[in-house]
Parts: sequence; structure tokens; C-alpha cells
Amino acid sequence: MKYTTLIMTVIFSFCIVLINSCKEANDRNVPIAAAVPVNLNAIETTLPDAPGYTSFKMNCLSCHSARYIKMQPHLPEKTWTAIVTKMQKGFGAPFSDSSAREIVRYLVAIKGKK
Amino acid sequence: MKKIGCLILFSVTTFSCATKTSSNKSESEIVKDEWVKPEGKDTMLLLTDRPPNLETPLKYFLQDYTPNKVFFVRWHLAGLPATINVDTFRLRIGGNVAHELVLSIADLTTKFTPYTITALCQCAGNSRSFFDPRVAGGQWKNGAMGNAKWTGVKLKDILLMAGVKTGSKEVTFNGLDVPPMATTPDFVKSLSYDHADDGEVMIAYEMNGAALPIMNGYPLKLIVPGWYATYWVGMLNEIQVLKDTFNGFWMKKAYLIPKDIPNGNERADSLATKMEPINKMDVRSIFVFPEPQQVIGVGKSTDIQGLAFDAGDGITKVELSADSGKTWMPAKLDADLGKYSWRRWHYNFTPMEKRAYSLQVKATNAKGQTQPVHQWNRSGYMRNEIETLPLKVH
Repeated sequence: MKYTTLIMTVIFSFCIVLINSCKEANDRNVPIAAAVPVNLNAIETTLPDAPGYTSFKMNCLSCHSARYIKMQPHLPEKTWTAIVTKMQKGFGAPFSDSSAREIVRYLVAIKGKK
Repeated sequence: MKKIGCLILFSVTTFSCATKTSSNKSESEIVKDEWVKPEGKDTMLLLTDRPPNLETPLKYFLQDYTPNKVFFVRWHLAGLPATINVDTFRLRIGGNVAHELVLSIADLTTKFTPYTITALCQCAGNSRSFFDPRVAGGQWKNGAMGNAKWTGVKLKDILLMAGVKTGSKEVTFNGLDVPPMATTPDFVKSLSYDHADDGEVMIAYEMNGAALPIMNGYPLKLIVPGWYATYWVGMLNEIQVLKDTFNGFWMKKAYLIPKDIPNGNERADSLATKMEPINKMDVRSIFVFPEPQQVIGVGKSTDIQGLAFDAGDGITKVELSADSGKTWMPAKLDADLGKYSWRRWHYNFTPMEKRAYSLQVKATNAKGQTQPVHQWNRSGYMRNEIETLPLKVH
């Protein structure tokens, strides 16, 4: 009997933990102090793989994080080309024109708009 | 029997969790707020981590002054010092002056008359994410602004001590932030000499009675009342008085708006050809409470709240419309906290039907300037079109 009670207690506790973890998952759209990063350097942004990703990573991420892309709306290729040219000519990003074309290809693949 | 009961609870729990999570995921793909609580700040909306750009949650705009711990953060260049030693920090003033100055924070707090002003600091790109068609850039909602009491020294007093020589045309401002690559232009802004010397432009060592958070430009920030925040240079450590026009990237290539066109308006299919540096803030009002799509009670009075502001002429009128702008009703203005402060307003709204409602808000200033029905430009600056708040009434 005691053994059964112990098993029951363990299973019951497990259920409570599960319920709580579910609650946390459901509430995650509101700020929870414990669930948000406290160190900006610890934030990692993953972008999808697509042709040109290597050029993007090599040439863009030394100055700004991938979140600069993640937050952007979907934009036409013409707009992405203008942005990459601005980075190269205005902000002095030292990449070649062929790298620029690869970067544009990547951005259009993941954030393009017809 | 108990075992079976528990197993059922276990299964139900797992199932409901999985269901809710997947439905959350599909919603989050549409609008997904991400939050961060970096050292020295409370929880804020994350735009970007490197360089840091953080937005103030809307609920804090129900207060007259925006708390330092949630005041929006905006940096252009990722080369930021992790710490600043206030004992060795110096502000240098040079260029067309009789005496070059090298001032410590102690010099600023003891050798000048302290000056305090309440002023709204609003990012040029505040609310960019609402532009239609969408534009690239920091995808801010309405939280790239804040109202604070700034305490420090009038720039005029510092220029007087430096003995500015005749023929001065512009003054430039540079901070400790540096570009990660030497080929990227450093963030330097300029004002005309007359503007810099107008007795209102100041250098703050305190905001809301405390030292500035490092992310808000500790230890010194340039305050340019009535002007967009791009001029409010943080971690300010270098001022140059020039006899010529400053031609830096951040004045001649970035932060440009269509020249001499009200509200910086242009059309995507016919862009303006003449541009000028962004400058004074346009008249604007926003809703703060309730937040969009919030449910309010039928037949009950709800205290609709918001903000209105301009570049310092003063808000004289805020009006709301519940019929797509056909008729407008006056809102009640809170106390005037100073001409460069935002002005809070209230409007008692009692919807009589259970349905979706749309409220609109429009402010007018002492010059009779008001807000456009539609506003757009390529860079997503100076958003000030009449705002619409969708509400549900049950």
C-alpha cells in the first residue's frame, strides 16, 4: 500500500510539473522575467539556409546581428538590392560586387516579395 | 484506479499542451513580440541585440515621465564601451573657439548653472512598422520614444566658456560609439551654430533625477528639444565648432526627408527629388489605452487614454472620432508639463452596441498644424498620420 502511495505521489508530481510547464508555454507571449534573456550578447538569431547564406554570414554579421534581417518585412528584390548597395557604398562594408549579388540572392530568398 | 486516473490526467495534459503550443505558433508567425531584460533595464521589446535597439512597452506611456529602466534604446554602431569610467571621462570642445575645453563630469556639475527641461525624445523612425507599404529599417511600434526631465548644462554656457570665434556656422557632436569597421562612417551629427547656442539645446548628465543608463548614453547626452532623437547624441564626448557646413554621412546621406513637403510625405511611385536633413517633430497623437483589439464593456464608460505632442508650439486640441472622421469630439487634456513635453489626454467612451469599433485620434497645435490622413516616405520617418484604434465591444 505504501509503495502504491509513493508511486501515486511521484506520478501526481510529474503531472503537476507538466501542467506548470504547459502554462509557461502558453504564457510565453507575455513578458516573464525569468524567460527573457538578460544578456544581449547571449541572443542568437537563426536564419534559414538558402543560396548565398555563406556570403551573407561572412560579410554582414561582423557589423550587425542577424536580427537586423529577421525583423524586416518581406521586400521586393529592387529594395534589397538598394539596401545591400547602401551597405557597400554608404556604410563602407568591404565586399565585392559579386558578393553583393549573392547577399541579395539570399535576402530575396528568405525575405523577398514579388 | 488512482493510477489510471493519473495516467488520464497525464495524457490530457500532454495533449492540451501540444494543441495550445501549435496554435500559439501560428499566431506568433504573424506578430511575434520578443522580450529582453538586459542589465540595468527592465523587460523591454527586443528589436535588435547588436547594436542594441530596444522598445518601451506601450503601458509605460500611461505615466507622465518614462522610467529610465524602460526608456527606449537606439544605437547605430555596435562598437560600444561595456563600461565607462566617470572619473576619467572627458568632454572635449574644440574647433573655432578661443579656448579648447576638456571637461570632466565634476566640471559640468560644479562649474555651470544646472538647467532642467522636460522634453520628449522621439526616434525619427518611431512606428515605422506601421508604414504602408512597408519599409526597411528598425521595425518599431509606437515605443521608440519617451518623456523625461533632463538635467545638465546649457550648451550656450559651454560655448560661452570656450569663447566661440566669429564666423561659426555649425557645431558637430560625436559620442563614444564607434563603427566595428574603420570604413564605416562614425556617427556624428550637426546643428546650425544659432540652434546650438539658443539656450535650450543642452547636455544632460541626469534623466528623471538619476544618471542616464549606459544604454541611454551615459554619462552625457545631447538634448535637442522639439527635434527628432537622431540629434540627441549619447555618450557625447566631442563637440566641434565649425566655420563651414558639416558634410558627414549621417547628415548628408542618412536621416533625410523630402524637402519642404508637409509631414515628409512622398509616394512610392513618385519619390521626392529634393531631400533635406530631418529636423523638428511633426504634430502627432497616439492611443495608449486600451491597446488594439482589446475588449471593452458595452454600455459602460471606458477611459480612453493617449498622448499628443509637437515640436514645442504646444498642443491646443485633441479630438476623437468614432465614425471614420465624419465628426470629432474633444478629448480632455492633462496638465501642461512644458512645451517640449508630451501632453496626456483622456476621453470617456461609452459604446452602446456589441460590435467592432474603430476610434481615431487627431491633435492640433497652437500654429493650427494638425495630422494627415495618410503619411508615407521611403525611410519610414516622422510617422504622424491620424491613428486608428480597433476595439471589440462585448
